[in-house]
Order: sequence, then structure tokens, then C-alpha cells
Amino acid sequence: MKAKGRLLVALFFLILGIYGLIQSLAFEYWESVAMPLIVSGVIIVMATVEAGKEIYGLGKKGTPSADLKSLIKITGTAELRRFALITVWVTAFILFIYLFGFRIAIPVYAFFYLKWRGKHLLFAAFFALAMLGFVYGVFELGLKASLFQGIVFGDR
Amino acid sequence: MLEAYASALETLFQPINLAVLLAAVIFGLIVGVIPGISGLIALSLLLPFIFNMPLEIALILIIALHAVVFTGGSISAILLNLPGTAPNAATSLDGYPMSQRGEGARAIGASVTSSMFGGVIPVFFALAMIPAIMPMIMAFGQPEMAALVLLGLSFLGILSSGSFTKGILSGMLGLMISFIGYHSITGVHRFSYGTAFLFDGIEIIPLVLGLFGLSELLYLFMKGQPTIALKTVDARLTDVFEGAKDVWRHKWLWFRSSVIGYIIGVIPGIGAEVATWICYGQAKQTSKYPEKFGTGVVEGVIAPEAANNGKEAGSLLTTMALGIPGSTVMVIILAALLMVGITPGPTMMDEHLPLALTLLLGIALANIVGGIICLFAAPYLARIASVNLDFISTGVLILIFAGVFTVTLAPLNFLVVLCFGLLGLAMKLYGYSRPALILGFVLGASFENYIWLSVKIYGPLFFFRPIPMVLLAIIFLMVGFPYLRKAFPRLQGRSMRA
Repeated sequence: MKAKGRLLVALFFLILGIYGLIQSLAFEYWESVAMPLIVSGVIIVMATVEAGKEIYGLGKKGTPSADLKSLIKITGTAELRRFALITVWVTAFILFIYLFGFRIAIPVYAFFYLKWRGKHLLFAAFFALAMLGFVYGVFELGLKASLFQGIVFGDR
Repeated sequence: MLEAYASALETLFQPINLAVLLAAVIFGLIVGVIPGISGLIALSLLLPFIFNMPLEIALILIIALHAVVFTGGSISAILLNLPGTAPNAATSLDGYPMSQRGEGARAIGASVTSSMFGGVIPVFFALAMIPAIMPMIMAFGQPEMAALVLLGLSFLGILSSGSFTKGILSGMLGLMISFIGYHSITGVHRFSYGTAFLFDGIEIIPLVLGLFGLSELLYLFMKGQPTIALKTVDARLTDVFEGAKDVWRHKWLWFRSSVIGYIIGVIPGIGAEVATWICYGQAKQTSKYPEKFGTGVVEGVIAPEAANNGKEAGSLLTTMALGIPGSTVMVIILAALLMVGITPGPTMMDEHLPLALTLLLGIALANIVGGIICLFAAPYLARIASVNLDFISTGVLILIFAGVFTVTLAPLNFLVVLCFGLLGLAMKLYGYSRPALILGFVLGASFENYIWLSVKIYGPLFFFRPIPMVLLAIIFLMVGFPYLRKAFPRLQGRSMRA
């Protein structure tokens, strides 16, 4: 799984390099074309080498190596599940900030996240309010910065 | 020159700067003690706060925090066998067995004293080196700077990821990201797709917070958080001072380790982890009882701790004088310098010499203050390591997004943070160098400018000058050496014997 992941990352770089190369050829002056073109070229070469190493490595072994097996054991589904869960939490937090602003998103996220992590109701509520107070104190009062109010309640 | 030293001391000892330094030291020690929360996260989180601060205060805050992170990390390494930061892993080898034998306080005394003086003495080496290197770096023109940036990218790319291709790929990705937006030479908008949001390019704060802050949180959660069983530590001050005396008893080992740490710090791209293991190894090799290492000998604590704090002065000197970050954390410090309007490199040493000296002296003072706090408060600091990481990660996540919005005022940057957080996690998991990406990003625009100015002034063969040729030769040697070793096995044999 880890080897496949490494291959995917190498392919990501390869696609990025090809895309950069095509895009840079469309720029107007050669001064603005040259550097992105060279850098894209280097990315393509290096990504191909990296992808080649992975494909060659996988093909040569045929079956998953001991290293790969142990990695699957250690990093397998539990880690992937945890990764998916935390990504959902972070995305939900961003969406909440975007819709309702920091003043609502901070206590709601902190409370529900801590509850989900098995913290006591009062602890979670206290921490959520304390965090809101801290952010309001530091950013709005201390740094005189206006925190985002969200598209639902804000002026934007 | 003397005026610059006097001005630096005057700045550092202003009450407000001292107060900031003290606060940063306490924060740095706390961050260091907590396993999993690295100095990188703390420094990334500080970036939005320093944005509108006076220059000296902002930089003292960052430097002082970073200077003591490893000192704090040694406490949890010794008492809990959980290195607060990666370079403290070597300390736990002998520190933890000492703690199990009931000599935890002595180990902390030795570690803190070694860290404290190990962080101070190299500052004087750096201060002494500045007058010597000034004429050399002042001779640097555009071609030399272009070659230097390339050298920095190669060093950091290769050394921080352990793989040449992955290191270069990371640095090149950083360069590509830096090309997004308005091109200052031609006025062309590149990779911005007509979106106003991308006209000025990607901003540094969302990039750093995503790549180092969010990705570390995702990683921490993904790997599962360690449960730390809190132990009460019976630390008598007499035992702590016994540890301090141990450093005096092994003063040559301590001095050697500080010097090695400093030299490793000066070389760009080599992390504190390397410095600590090299010093641990040399302590073992030169010991009269090497077989006892790993069972709880105090020399095994003194050597790595002197090295990891000792390297910071060297790293900072390289970062400020050449604009090449001496270590991963120095990339963030480089970004911070650029954010507050200072371009590290010869210009900084010429136009902001007192500030550069203030930062070096700040490292020394932060180490002294941090050392004194640790000597008296280590057992209490150790309790912080048992704080539940759920609370910390929730707080850090909220601060990341609040900080990003405060500086950029653009909600779209939340997505930028998320994207770079995921990219950073993938890079961390698959061995790509995140510092090289940031370095490519922060140096991308100036690298392109150096290249075009060099072409305009000296023609396309601008690199046929002595210094760029030497620097390019170093890059080729560095890149080619592993292949040469494979091609000529005799080289490998020689290097192994050496």
C-alpha cells in the first residue's frame, strides 16, 4: 500500500510537470516562459525516475515484500480510517467557518469534536467557550483584526 | 563593527524585548516538552502574529522560542522516554535509564546545563566569524547569488529527504508554486487563470501553516496519539546541581560536542538529529567505557544535548549571511525574515547587521534563561507532557485558520491551507522534503530575478565566474558522489575506512 502511495505521489508530480510544461508554453514572453519550462522539465525527468523506481521495484518483487506486508499491518485500514475521519472534521470546520464565521464555528467545532473524542460534556463545553474567548481576545481585541463572519451572517 | 555589537546589546536588553524573550522561552519549553507538538508547528503558528509586530520583537520572539525547544524536549526524553522533539531521541538512550535508576534529576541537571552552555558558546564562535566572512559575502553579485540559491536547494533537498530525486522534486514544486501570479520582469500573469485571488500568487502564511501546521496535526491523528502515564518526579535541587557538576567533570566532551554541533549547523541542510547522533557516537568512541553507553551514563546525555543547542547559532549564521537555511526550522525563520521585509543574505549583513547580531545574542540569552527555568522547574514542566493532545490539536487547528484569515483576509485561503495540509501529509508519509518545497517557494522569485539580471549584465554564460563555478562544482560533486561510489567501489571502501 505504501509502495502504491509512493507511486501515486510520483505520478502526481509527473502530471503536474506535464501540465506546467504545456501551460508555460502559452505564456507571452520568453523571459516568462523559460523558468517554468525548465522547472517543469526537471519535474518530469525526476518524477519519471521516481515512478520508474517504484514500478521496477514492484514488478521485480511480484508479490508484496515483507516490508510492504508489515507496513500494511501497521498503517493499514485503521490509519486510513483515522485519516478519513480527521479530514472530514477539518473540512466540516472550514465549511462551518465559511458559512457562519469563526464566532459560531469555533465553539461548535471544539465542543462536538471533543465530545466525539470522548471528553466529558462539561470539559468540552468549557474548552469550547474558553477557545472562543481566547481567539476573540487575541485576534479581535489584541491584534485589532476582524475575524471572518461567514456568508450567512456577514456583510460580504 | 563595535557600534553594531553595542546597538545589538542595547536592543536585546530593552525591557519589552526581554519580556518577549522570557515569554517566548516559556512557550518554547512547553512546546518542547510535549511529544508530538514540534517546534515547527509552534513557529508556523507564530507567523500570523508577527505580521504586524515591530521588527525586533517579532524576530526575538521566533528565535527565543526556537532556541529552547530542544532543551524542553530533553526533559520528557529523560523522564518519560518520549523525546519531545526528534533530536532528543539520542538523549533518551542514557537519560531514561538514569531516570529509572532514580537519577532523573541528575540527568536533567546534566542535560539542561549542557544545553544551556552548549547553546551559548557557539554564539561567540558565530560572532567572531562575522567580521571574517563579511568581505567574502560582500563580493557576491547576481551570478553568485543565483548559484548559492541553487546550492541551497540541492543541499536541503538531498539532505532533508535522504533521496536526491525526491529532494529535487520537492524544491522544484516549490519553485513552480512561486511562479504563480504576476511576473515582475514581463508583467505576465502565470498560472493564475484570470482569478484575482491568484494574481499576487500563493501567500506564504497559508502555505507554511498548511504544509507544517495542518499536516502535522493530520499525521498526529492518523498515527494515533500516545497515552502518557504521568509519573511523579522526586527531583531534589542538590541532584539537579550534581548533574550540572557532571558537565564540568566532562567539560572537554561538552566543548567538543558544542563545536561539532556548531560546525554541523553552519553546513546547510543537516538537521539537529544528525548532530546529536554524531556527538553521541563520538562520546561513545572516546569513552573509557563505551560498553556502558545505553545503560545510563551521563556522557550520553551531555554530548547530544550540547550538540543540538550548539548547532542553532551556526544554522542562523548561514541563514542570515547566505540566505540559505541551515536547517528545517531555519526555513521558517527565513520565511519570517522575508515576511517582515528583510531579505537574508549579504544585504541583511550589510544593512541590518545590528539586527543579525541581536538575533545571535538572543539565542545565547534565551538559552541562559531557558536553562535557569529548567534547572528549577523541570519536574513541573514534565507534567505538561501528559496534557491530552486532543485539547492541544483542537486549539492548534482553530489558531491555524484564525491566523490565516487575520493575515490574508481571504476565505479562499482556507482551501489553500487544506490542500497544502494534505500535500504536506503525503510528502511526510512518502519521504518528500517539505522544507525544500518551502525553500523553493521563498527563494523562487529572487532566484528567477538573479538569473535574469545575471543574463542581462553578464550574458548567458554568467556562471563562468570563479565563485559560481566553485558552487556549481560542489553541487555536481554532491549529486554525483553516490553514483561515483557505486561505479567505483574502491571509493566506498575508503570512505568506510575513514
